[in-house]
Amino acid sequence: MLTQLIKIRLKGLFGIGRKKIKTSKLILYALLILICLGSCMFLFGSYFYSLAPLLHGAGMDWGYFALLCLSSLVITFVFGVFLVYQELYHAKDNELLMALPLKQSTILLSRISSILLISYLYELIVFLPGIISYLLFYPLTLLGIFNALIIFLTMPLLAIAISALIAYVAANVVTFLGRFKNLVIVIVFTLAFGAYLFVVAQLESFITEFVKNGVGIVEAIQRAFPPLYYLGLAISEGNMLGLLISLAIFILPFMLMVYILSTNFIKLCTSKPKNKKAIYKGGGFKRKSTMQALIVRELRHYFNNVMVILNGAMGLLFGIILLVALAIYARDVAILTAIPPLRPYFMPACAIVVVFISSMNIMSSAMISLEGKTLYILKSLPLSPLTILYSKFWTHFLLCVPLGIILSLALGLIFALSPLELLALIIIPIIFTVFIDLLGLIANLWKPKFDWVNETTCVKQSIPSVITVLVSMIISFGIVIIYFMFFINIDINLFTAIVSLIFLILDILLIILLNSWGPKRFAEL
Amino acid sequence: MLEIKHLTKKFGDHTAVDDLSLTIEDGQIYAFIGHNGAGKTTTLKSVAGILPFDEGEVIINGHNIKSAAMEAKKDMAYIPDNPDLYDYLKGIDYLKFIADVYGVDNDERKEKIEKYSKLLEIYDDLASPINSYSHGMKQKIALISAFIHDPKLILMDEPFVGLDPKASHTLKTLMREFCDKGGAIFFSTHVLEVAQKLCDQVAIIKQGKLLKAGTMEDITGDASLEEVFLELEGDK
Repeated sequence: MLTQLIKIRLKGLFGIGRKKIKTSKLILYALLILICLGSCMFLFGSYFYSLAPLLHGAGMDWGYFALLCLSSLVITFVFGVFLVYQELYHAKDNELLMALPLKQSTILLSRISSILLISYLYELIVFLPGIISYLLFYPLTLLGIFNALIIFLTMPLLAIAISALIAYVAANVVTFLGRFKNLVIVIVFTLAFGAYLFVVAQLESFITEFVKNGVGIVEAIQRAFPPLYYLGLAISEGNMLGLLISLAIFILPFMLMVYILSTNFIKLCTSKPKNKKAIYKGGGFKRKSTMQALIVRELRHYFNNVMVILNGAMGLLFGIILLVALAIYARDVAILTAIPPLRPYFMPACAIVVVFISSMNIMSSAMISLEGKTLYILKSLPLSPLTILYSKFWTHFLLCVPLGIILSLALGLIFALSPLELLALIIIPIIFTVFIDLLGLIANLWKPKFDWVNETTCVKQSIPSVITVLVSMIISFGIVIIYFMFFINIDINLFTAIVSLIFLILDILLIILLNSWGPKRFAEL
Repeated sequence: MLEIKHLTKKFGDHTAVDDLSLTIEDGQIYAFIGHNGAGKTTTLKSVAGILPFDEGEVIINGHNIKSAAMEAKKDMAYIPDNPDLYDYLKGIDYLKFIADVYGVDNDERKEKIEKYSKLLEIYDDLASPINSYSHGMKQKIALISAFIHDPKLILMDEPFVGLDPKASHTLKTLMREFCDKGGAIFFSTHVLEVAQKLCDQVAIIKQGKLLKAGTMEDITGDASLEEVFLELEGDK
């Protein structure tokens, strides 16, 4: 029975079995997944590849593996925390399963098992390239490899235990935040992410310091975080005491979590958020135009789900983080203006930064899918398909462009750009934002996903979002690479103007496509 | 008010609605009955302009749903069988959104929302988010949204499901009043007693084909609608 439940949960999470998928589509999905996974693994692999000789040279192999395990743990936790929250506290089939002759422990175990299997996938992205990078330089003992395997299998248990604890606290805290809960969660996440970026930025200098004052830091870590030291030793030297200590740290909190959850499972499944009942008192009847009403509705929909914001509007969060960083480090950045040869590159470089930030906003690629079962409302109202489609376009535009302009102005001020350059810096990202906005909308119109159970899947696991993310990222990186590979001898401003013109033409072509094909396609949905 | 001429809707090889023709006059409450999967919802969705259809014509108050969709939809309201509304809005915000789309002015929307929400006893709950509503409460909001812009035709798919007895009674009164003022209602139902007492006309559909249509007296004679329905359902 447990195996059946795990199978059902995994099918639900990956959307397997809902429709027959053509082989060509399967190949496309597999290719997209491979590209994403491969890119991530390559990134982590190259990072640890540069780290291995450094730490081995300083005689701190344990530090390498401690860092590898810590990174795997953080990634497993970051990617898994929302899944744990969803699966344990908001599973939609709790009542259905509890009405069946199933033990509570079986239901709980099926949920944890499916989370664990997915956690292994996340962990693999960091752990495997890290181990391979080390083995490319130095051997590991058989016991070391065995310990690494055991640690790989048990480490996600700690990540799940921490996630479950945080999810438990969050589930109880958010009820007190009322209508501001989404805003508070987004702010907390943004601050946490900002802190994470700061730590990553400081990591290099930390490692340099680590290598320089190795012995002192080893003693400090042994004193302050002995488990981390023993965790590293378990793999680097095949130390069995290290393995036992690590296992205790991974397994004991997990067992405690399972015990607490199993004793509270019915309460957990049947409790409802404590919503304070609001009594309607009338008033507030201010008429809006149709387009205003549609855009306000889209905004309310989008900002209603934190997960949708965090996955589809990362550019907004990064933009805010960048603005704060610019405010703090404006003087340091402005030092670059003292280097005259760099002067012509300021405007294009600033433009590509704003373009990159904008490329992380993919709201329009999910807005049609997010209608889900309520699509009939729009279709039954006296609204032309183009009005509906453009309300989605303008929502994306209004969410992204103001922040883009503020960023452009801030960068323009710091780099003391001329009025003409500043104007270009404002216009170029807008042209690109319109391109991504239209691309996402058209991709979503082409392949909408209405059979979702959780809205997040529209942003995380849908073809339009993947296409939009990949295209926008490839473009923002590709422009820089193409310039330096093929057009380095051309004036950078001329190159920027040509690229902008190309995107302006693409914008016009996409608008023509949306106006001609869009209404017909929308009527078919 | 509503003319359905030779309506045919296919899903791949399956014909969900097969050459269906009906006429609903002003002031009529028209019941549409049939077993599960007979094609009632597909017909209603096609008439409402939600589903594109393969053949035939739908004329609402003189406007063709295909060639003059905006004009036709302005004269119509649609209530689905399952009131999936915008969960992220409060009840009042949903009603304001519908009023904005139909261009209902401030005084009129205030009057309508207050009138219908008090009648259906959901006024106090309008400030609560829709995701906290029960099925019946959502159904009440969907009903208010249908009456808010003074439509001429209301299409209702199983409108009594989820409503408490008092709300059901109120809805029946509202339906009668609406049609007495010249409006028309085309609704599907499985509650045959309600259909027999409330409706002027009835149509019975089976496997996408119209079996019988006409006034309640013509269709039932001395028998009950249930007896007639079961007899027709038994025919091969």
